[in-house]
Amino acid sequence: MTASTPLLSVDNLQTQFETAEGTVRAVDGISFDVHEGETVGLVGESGAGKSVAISSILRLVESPGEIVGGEIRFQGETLLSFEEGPDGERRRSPETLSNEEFRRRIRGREIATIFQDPMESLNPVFTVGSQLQEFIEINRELPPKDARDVAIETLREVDIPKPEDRFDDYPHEFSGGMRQRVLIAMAIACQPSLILADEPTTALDVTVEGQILNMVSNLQDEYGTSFVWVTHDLAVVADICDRVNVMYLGQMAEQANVHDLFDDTKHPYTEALLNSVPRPDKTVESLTPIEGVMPEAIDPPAGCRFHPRCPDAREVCREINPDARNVSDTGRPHNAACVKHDAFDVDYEHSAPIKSEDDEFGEDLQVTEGSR
Amino acid sequence: MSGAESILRVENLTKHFSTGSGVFDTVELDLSGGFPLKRTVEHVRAVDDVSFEIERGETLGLVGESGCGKSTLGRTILRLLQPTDGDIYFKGRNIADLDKGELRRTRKDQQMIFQDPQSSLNPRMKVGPIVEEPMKAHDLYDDDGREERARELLEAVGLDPQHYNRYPHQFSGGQRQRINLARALSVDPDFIVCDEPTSALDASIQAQVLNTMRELQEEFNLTYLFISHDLSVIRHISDRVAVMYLGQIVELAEKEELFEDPKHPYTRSLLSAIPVPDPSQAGSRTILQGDVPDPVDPPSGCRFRTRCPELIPPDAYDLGDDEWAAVREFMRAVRRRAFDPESRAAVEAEFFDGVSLGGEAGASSTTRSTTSPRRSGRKRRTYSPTPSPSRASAHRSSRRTNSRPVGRRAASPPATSTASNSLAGRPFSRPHSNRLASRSSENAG
Amino acid sequence: MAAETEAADGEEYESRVGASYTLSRLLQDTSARISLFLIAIISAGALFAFVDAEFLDYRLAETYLYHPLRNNVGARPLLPPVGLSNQFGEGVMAHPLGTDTRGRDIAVRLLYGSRIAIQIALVSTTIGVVVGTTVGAVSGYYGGWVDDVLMRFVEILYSIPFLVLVIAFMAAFGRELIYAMIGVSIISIPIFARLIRSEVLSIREETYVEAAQAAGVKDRNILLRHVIPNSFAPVVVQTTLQMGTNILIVAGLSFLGFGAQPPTPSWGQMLSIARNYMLPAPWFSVWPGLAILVTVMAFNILGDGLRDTLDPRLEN
Repeated sequence: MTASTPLLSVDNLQTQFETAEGTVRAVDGISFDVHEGETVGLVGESGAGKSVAISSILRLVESPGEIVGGEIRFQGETLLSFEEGPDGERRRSPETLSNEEFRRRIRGREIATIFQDPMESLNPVFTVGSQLQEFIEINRELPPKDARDVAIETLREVDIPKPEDRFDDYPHEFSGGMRQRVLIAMAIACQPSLILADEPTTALDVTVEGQILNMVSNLQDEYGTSFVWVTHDLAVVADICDRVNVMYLGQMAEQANVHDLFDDTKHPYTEALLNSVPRPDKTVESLTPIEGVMPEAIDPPAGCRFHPRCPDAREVCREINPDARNVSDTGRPHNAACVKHDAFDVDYEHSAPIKSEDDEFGEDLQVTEGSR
Repeated sequence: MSGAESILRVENLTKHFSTGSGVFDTVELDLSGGFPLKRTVEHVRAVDDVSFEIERGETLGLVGESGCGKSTLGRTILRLLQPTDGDIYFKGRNIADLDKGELRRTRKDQQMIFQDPQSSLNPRMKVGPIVEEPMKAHDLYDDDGREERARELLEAVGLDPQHYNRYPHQFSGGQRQRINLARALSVDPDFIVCDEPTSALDASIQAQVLNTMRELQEEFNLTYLFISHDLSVIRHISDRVAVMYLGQIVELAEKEELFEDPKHPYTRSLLSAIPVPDPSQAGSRTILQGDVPDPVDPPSGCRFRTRCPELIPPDAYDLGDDEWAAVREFMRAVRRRAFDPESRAAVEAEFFDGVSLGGEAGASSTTRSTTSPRRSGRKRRTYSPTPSPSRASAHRSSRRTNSRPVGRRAASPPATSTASNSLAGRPFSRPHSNRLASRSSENAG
Repeated sequence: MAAETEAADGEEYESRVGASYTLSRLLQDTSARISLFLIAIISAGALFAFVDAEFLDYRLAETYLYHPLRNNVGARPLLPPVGLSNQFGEGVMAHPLGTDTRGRDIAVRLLYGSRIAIQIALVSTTIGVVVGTTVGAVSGYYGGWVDDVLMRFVEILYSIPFLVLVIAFMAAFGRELIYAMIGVSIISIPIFARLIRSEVLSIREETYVEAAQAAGVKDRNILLRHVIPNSFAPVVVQTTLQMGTNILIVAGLSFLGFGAQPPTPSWGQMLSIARNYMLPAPWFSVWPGLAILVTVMAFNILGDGLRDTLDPRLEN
């Protein structure tokens, strides 16, 4: 694997859920890369499909959900790919790693995960230490005594005080931040090359979150692990991510390195998101909320999925659903899925603007300038 | 803000919870002498001797980490919980001792909005009756009048009055919070306690609801006590801000004053610990170590002393800043058992590198070391978690020094970015406390 | 939190709460449909029998069927069902299920016996639900010493050996039906009390209950409007199951001779008599047994169907 081959490469991933009301295209063609040693953010609000994307990479999607398309490569090896079958339907190609092998070799070992709610991920009837030890025994194939030592050391490494004693404590005896550290310990115990973190600090207090972010950052320096960090919090993104992917309703809206994303935003959704959050470091007089709510993935708007809420929407946006293309004017890659950029040759300038839906009720409020 | 009279005045308010339930839970076997069964009751000191005022028409933000008692304080003020001690003067009247009937009548003037939009609405009641219920409880209007007012209120909070007959599950999270607002407003209260009303909402929905709350405050002349753990939201919506830690208010000031020039070390730590949505400031964040101590047995004296980066060294020892910081770090590491003690030299090298302390253990130090220039960094330790028998006794430390900025590797931003890096930009960051002294680590579990 | 769409104006979201919704959902389950149908038939029969027996003095039976109580002059005793023959003779169409020891038609006696079963089960279960719910809800909501005291009462009720209680009753007051009903009611109460109490314990922590308290709603109204409706789902399930159980208990009591006295028919009683004629006339015992079986099963299956309908789907 050369230096330029990404560690993880996701190409046009598609995951769907078959429900009684129709097909929910939770992830509808997203592509992104993760290189060695970097932290890639996956940002979006609830319903954008980020958790489903992570589950898809880990093959944890269960019926009625199914991965129906895309290619995932890890360290140069194909994990998942599709081909066309004899009847024209899509099916998994023979290069795809079998579920068995994926579970044995990749999941937990090469690619580890940290989930949001530690109470859900830890079994409440077993001690924390025994769970960690078991994990290490299985994934690193060590005898129990050695695994226990490794477990204690890993607990120490994630700043859990008195790890020899805490080893025998149950999950409910830990605070939220401590539990999350335990999960991180489980993730790093097998020294994976890639960790997928699904909103691990969302439920934590801000100071605890700060500790965890710091620790994760140090661990990254220590081991050179790459991270995919899923979050809806732009402050966290600004703090630890090198590159960022912004998702909206199952598709990529914008992809850029973190400085470009904040300073030179190219997609109206990202822009609107940045303008709608208050900040701790300066007083924001008035917040500009994004009009409306994110629609459900079962019935996405025609054309660009964001156009009903977009302040820059034009007629042509109703017709075309743009993919994320490089729209950068610096040398650095910066993708955005918005037709107002020249990379899309659709004559945006001459298209008529769409008036935003005049819905007096619902989420569409008059924004008043704050008088305080 | 109209008028300077306070609508709410809280004096020495205290709320303790006793742990233990049932008859035998608190009985313990004690064979040390005397009667073998002893009754021990522990108290969770959730709110301890809190006093403050809120003026009519203002928004007081109440901020703190989980477990600091802010929700308890909010509920105690409304007497949803019985205060253990203290007085609550609402519109001049002490409601701390009111009996049940009287208390129920005061509820007309003070309402509460809750955090979880999902569980704060009865799933089996239609939205219209939900909004009407408080009016019914206080015998306001008649049936038709109530319905009409309910529809008006739905409209006022930004919902379609035609949805009067819908059930809560047919609305989104942000809309349900609006229903909560409508319900709270239905009795025309003067004072509303908002317990983290936007914490469960997505960022953009949060903005909408906050804006609505502001408008309603103007329109109906409301006073808010806004409880949140999110400093950004507090900064946006509050006039004054109170910071709580472990059951006490540690700082109370006008908003700008508090954020730009915080005076309490906890506030300062809190403010410098939060990530900011600005990538050029990545790396300037500091961390507040350790967990909040157990409110059953809070630290004596200043409750923040176990984590405080600006702890004052005892007079008996003549320590400079560097020495004191090194001593504190060492004590913490010992308590956390974060390393294996090898030889004295190794321990000294690790914790007291560049700092010299003399004197007998327990005696006052006679030599005062020269204040060495602040070190720009300590050696970083590397260690691996894989034990092998030969390295079983290898020296290990789980400490991380702050020799490098925390957060993302400080890659320099591209030339087009104008923001300068890290510490200088933030008015409240102090170079000294950022580095060596910001680590505190009383572990509470 | 997931952001859900607001329905466009004019489009109606189906409501996911309420009795009609539950019923429509329930009817989608085949076994529930069958059991509901069976119960409807049995109840209709019981109602008919009740009306006829109480108010019309068996006139309808006399006119259209057979009088269930009087010996059927001319009919042969212990005839087998139509199409079969035993030592007593051959089955005839006139008595499709056969006759009992006094020549009375078994089918008619089954019908009039159902009235006893259903009547007792209905009344006792209802009393159990009403009293049990009140006790359990109050106990769970207020907690403290109220909870302790009420629950001790409930436990006392639980621990009384039921049969001993009923027999003692009847020894003291006489072998009337009413005392059987009281007995069955008493044992039904604690079941519901405990069930609702545990539901209420969790519901009272819900935020909307706290919100109602904060709004100043009276406790009584909080219980009626918020707490009980949301705790009720398991009670509905238990009610149907308890009906089945109570029918069994009543049959057992009748079998032992407590309950409806001859000549008033009841299933358990018929079984008791049939016991003595097991060898010569086995069919005599089959019918009342089958009646009990089918009825109890119908209630149980209905209860299962209700549990499936009510539990996961109603809460999102």
